[in-house]
Amino acid sequence: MNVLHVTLVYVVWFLVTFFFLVSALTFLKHRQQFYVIPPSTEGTPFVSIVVPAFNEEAGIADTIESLLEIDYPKNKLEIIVVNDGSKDRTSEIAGKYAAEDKIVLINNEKNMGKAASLNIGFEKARGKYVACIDADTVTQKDVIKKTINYFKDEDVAAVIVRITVRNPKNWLEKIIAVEYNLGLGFYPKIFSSIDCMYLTPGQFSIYRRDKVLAIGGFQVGNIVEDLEIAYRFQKAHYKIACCVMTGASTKVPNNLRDLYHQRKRWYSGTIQTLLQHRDVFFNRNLGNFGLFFIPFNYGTTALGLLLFFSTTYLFFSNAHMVYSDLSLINFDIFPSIKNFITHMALDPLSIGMLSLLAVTPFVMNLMACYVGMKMMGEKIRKNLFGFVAFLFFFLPYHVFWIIALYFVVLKKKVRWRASM
Amino acid sequence: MAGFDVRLYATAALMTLLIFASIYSLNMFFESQREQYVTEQMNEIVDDFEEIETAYYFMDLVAQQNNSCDILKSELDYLESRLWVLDGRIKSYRDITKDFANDEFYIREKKKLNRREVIHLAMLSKLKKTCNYNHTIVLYFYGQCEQNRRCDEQGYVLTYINQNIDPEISILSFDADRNISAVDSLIKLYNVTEYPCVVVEGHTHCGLHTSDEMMALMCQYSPSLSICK
Repeated sequence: MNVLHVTLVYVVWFLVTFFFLVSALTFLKHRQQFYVIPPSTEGTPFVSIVVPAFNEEAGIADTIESLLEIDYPKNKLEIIVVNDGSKDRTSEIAGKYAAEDKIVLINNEKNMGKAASLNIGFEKARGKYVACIDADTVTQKDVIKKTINYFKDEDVAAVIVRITVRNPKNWLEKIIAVEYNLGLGFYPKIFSSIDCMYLTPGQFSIYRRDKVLAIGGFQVGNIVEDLEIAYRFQKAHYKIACCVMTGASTKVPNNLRDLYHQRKRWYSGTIQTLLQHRDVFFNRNLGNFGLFFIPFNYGTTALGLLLFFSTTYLFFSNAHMVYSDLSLINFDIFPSIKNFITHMALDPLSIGMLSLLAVTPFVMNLMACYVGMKMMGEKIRKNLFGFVAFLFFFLPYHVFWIIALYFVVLKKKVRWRASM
Repeated sequence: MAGFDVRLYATAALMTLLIFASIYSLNMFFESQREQYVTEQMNEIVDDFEEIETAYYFMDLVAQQNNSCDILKSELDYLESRLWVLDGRIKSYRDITKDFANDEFYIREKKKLNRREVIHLAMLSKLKKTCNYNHTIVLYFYGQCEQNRRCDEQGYVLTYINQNIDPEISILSFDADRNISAVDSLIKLYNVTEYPCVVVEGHTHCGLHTSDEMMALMCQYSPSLSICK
């Protein structure tokens, strides 16, 4: 076990360090373009916004209101709400806006799933460009104006924006706020510059309609349709651009139960999609995406999980030994603690190779988080708790990955959300 | 084929290797410092022992002087505490550097330490006889610890006991795997048949003993110990 553990430490260290350095070098190379938006050449094309909604009575009105306030000619913008068989007041709330001709409301007779609802919205949409937004998300007013110009590159199939957490209040929302700033803002911007975008966030993304239709729309039944479509974009050699100068804010889980269900869906869906599109691994035709991003990102995740297993095993194995030792002295630990405190000496020579290897990825992650937050214009001291806690939040995420793997291997059904 | 930035990956790979080389060099530096620390401590202890050995040989000569026993006793107490600390440090360094267990340096220093323990035992026994020194001696023999975790467990119990009643007892530990003739002689002398094995005031008790069992043994052979009252 020790040999396996040590081997994993070395391998994961090399993968993590290499991945970090590629990200850092890419960032340094493209940092001048970080905030640059392509100049306007598109004019004001017609844009449709599709809002799939299932049991969203709590947030749908805010979403529609924010869309109505978008700074874009009203005669060039349509809002399509697809009520996906909701059993609550979603249809009634959206219906009021439809009655005033502010939106188009489509009611699915039965729940068909998010991907199917998006496809229905795309069929109905008249715009050359179609934005999709979750019904618990609100956008910035300039979200269309700042993203539309990216489409002047004919290869761009989608533009993603920065996703932030809406009014983070409790401890979990504050941690996720940091995660979103980095994972749905800073890193996508870096990876988009080497065509390695692996996601068009469901919270808000804007698509070129004909390219989506050309690849067959969203995959019905896939629980991470926003990830899956990105893989097909990559395979079709379409680009996904990223604009961090505008964005959308969304609700996130504010308790561990909801987080568990959300991550179980995300990670199970990711594993299923990777299995479905396993031909992307080491695919020379996909360049950086196939030869670097996918193998290194998910290779590191997989080996990181094995390392997590071995570390957990060794931890409990050591804990068992400590328990066994303590049982021999009737658990009279106070003399030992007193002796430890009395003779406590900071000995830098006690730092071994494995400790040194463990420290460096942590330092690199700290640096990346710091730079990422700064680049996203966030003040770290305003959410110091979230920043510090996020650095250690990889531990529960590993547990979620293991659970997701369990669900996929046993082919268990993963629900969209906890309350369904 | 989509873009593949060979230069980017080559640079990142080179930098990864450079960082690894830096960490490896730092670890080698720490390792040499660890060895240097152990060597320095050992040399100091050897010096101290040589001094006290000189006093030991003159013990009969100076026995008439009232304070000679006190001087030797305090010297031995001091040396014992240093041996204890050094033994702990060697053990912790062994844990940091897993290869240490098969390392020539580790084996050499362990041998030196064991020899010092034997000399310490000889002097302590002499001190007990000559100066009528009321002190309990516990010998602890261990071996094949890589496979036998009971050695570490017994070591843990004895450390606990030493912390509790340090001034009244001396616990001297001997590594049976080091092929030290003096230790082998002690093993034969006390009829040590398995490891771990403790010898309390000359009485051999092999097998793992809990703190309660150890204290019972010590009270059986040294009823005057404070813990026995």
